[in-house]
Amino acid sequence: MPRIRISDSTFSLVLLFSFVPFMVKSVSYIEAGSYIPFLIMDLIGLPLIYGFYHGKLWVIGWLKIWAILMIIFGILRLGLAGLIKFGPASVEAQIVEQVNLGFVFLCLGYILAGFYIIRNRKRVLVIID
Amino acid sequence: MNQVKNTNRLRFARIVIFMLSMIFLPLLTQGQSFDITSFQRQFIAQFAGDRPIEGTINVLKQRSTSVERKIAENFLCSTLNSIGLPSNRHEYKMPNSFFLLDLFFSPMQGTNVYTIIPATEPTEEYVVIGAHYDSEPGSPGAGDNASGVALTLAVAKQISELTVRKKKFVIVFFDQEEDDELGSKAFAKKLKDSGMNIHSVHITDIIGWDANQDLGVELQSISSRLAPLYQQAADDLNIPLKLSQGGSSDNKSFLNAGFETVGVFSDEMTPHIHKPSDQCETVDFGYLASSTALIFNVLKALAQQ
Repeated sequence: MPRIRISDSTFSLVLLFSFVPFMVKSVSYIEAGSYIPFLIMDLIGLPLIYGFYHGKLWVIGWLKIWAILMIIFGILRLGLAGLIKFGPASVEAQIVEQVNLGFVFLCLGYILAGFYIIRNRKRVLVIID
Repeated sequence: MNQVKNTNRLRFARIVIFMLSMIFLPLLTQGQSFDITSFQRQFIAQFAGDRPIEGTINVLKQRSTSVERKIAENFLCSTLNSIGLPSNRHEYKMPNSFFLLDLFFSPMQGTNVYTIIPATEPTEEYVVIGAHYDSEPGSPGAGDNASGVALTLAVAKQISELTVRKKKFVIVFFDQEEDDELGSKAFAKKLKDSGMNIHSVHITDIIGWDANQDLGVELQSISSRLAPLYQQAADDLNIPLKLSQGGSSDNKSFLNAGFETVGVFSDEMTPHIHKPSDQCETVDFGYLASSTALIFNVLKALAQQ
């Protein structure tokens, strides 16, 4: 069975950066009694892990989907942040508190990471078996 | 020889003074009852930003952000301790009110503050009394709901002084009522999960406004078991009761969780609700004391059942 490895450490770091916040959020929501973010992470993460053992094309495809989702996620979050800060949206005080400079940088990070993954995903994948 | 005699006399005099003080001091202090109005006035002045919290420079102009709610939480704990009750924190995380927000934001987090007043006889039956301590952004929340918190604190102090309590009492202050009653939802879930035998839940909110000076109180969704107790206490204090259905505050969380619950509110809505004008000076302390007496009398009757 062919196994696939990422040959570029920067790419690995970017991929890790893209996953870790979601994993933290999933666990946090399990504590809060909601399994929806965890299920969504499973739906995205498991096919990717499966792909690393079953085919380069599969991985390339899933990385593209993941990257697009991240870009959409980043843009939506930025849009929501703008609505909350400057628009008529009335939400809980604790949500308003979350919308700060760090939140905006994280959104930009997701978008940049998404574009980086799309651009480099084919180059860095190596079949090792 | 004389010196020894003098020393012995001095010792004897000291013992006599000590014994006399042990006998008479309690008699002297017995008449000094807990001054409810003074306590509530001082508490609300600090809790609703009229003046800084004692011993700090913190002025709570609102209790809405995480930092402000933390200050309020600490102040509540120290107030509970100052009236001789231990304080406990119930930290919780809850999903956002709309599930799609869960994908974009962190879960809601908060802290309820509570204490348990033990029974004087063996029992596992609990009566819960609670009020929310947060406020709407931009509002000092003197009426909504420093009034309910002050009422609950005064009732807690009086219950703890009862010589007979056949039930345990849970005194709880909820976080984030203004954010979809998250604190009370989490606490109701905690009570349900723990399997505690809850006799009834009594929630107070916005209970400092009485423009028509009739001392009237609204009871929301009261059960047939609690209604006679409230009616008797109201008759004794000459308080008119207005009954209504539904749940408009933290009582909703307990009703939905299946607990026997009553919401106790002012029967008139304050015009200052959720406004910057909801300040200490708008609270009718005579009315607050009257409502405090009503709830204390009900809980005292429950304590003796």
